[in-house]
Amino acid sequence: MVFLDLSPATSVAVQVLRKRRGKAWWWLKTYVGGSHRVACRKCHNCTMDKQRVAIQTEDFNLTDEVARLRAGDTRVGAVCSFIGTVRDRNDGCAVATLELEHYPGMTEKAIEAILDAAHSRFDIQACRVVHRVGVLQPLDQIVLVAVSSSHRGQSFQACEFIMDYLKTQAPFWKKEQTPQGARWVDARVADDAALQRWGIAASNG
Amino acid sequence: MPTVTLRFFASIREAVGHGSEECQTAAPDLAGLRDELIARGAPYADSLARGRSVRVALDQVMCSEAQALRPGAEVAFFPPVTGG
Repeated sequence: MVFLDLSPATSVAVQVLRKRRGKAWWWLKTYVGGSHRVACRKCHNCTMDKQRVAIQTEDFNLTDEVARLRAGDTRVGAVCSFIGTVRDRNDGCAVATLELEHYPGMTEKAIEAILDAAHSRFDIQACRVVHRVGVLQPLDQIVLVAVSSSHRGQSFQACEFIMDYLKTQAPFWKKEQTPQGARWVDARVADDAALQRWGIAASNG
Repeated sequence: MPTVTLRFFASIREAVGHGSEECQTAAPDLAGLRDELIARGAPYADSLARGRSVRVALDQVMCSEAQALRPGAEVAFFPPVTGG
């Protein structure tokens, strides 16, 4: 039995390996806010410690996240990470705060699908995304993408691929507080172009 | 008529005034549903108007407006995403 105590705005997607009658499958379930008990009665490979996606209001620590990503995996020879942070200016205006909204349930599914795509496309061992929501300020960390692989080339590419894909497919929206008032951030044409570089034609705009 | 759950996010949620509602619809697909909402007039008509960039998801999966509707589905309308 595993216990989750989540703040209201935090959602956690859990992958649990189930085995029954000689067959095994991954079961993905999302928990949103509150206290939950996750039953792992006869699960021999519970992957609570290999949770791939976290949507949370709290800040994250890169050192801790990388340590968890590659823990115990002697195949790993390379770890690549990206952190997105809040700037104090955007599109000609000063930004006092940045508020991130998301679609609980869909956000986790969308990012899990992106990570599945990364595993299919690149020779990587593990990957993790942490994305914050709520009100953030300049200098705050917003998003972490971390990827491990045996050799550096694949994790470099996978990390950029995941970020490019997330920018146009993960359901988050940003609202800035500026001296002229609040405004929603517009999607960028450049982000669609970045995804097209990987041969994916999905359109955001 | 079948019932679906509508979800709105970001600037569309602000314009409509709420993030969720139940809706009875005879629309065969998401394009038809969007047209029904536009036909309601304000506050839906402006934020969902043709010519505005609006994305849709059916049961929490991004899709096109050509996607067929099914009873009990969750349909979300939102602006282009800006995460990361």
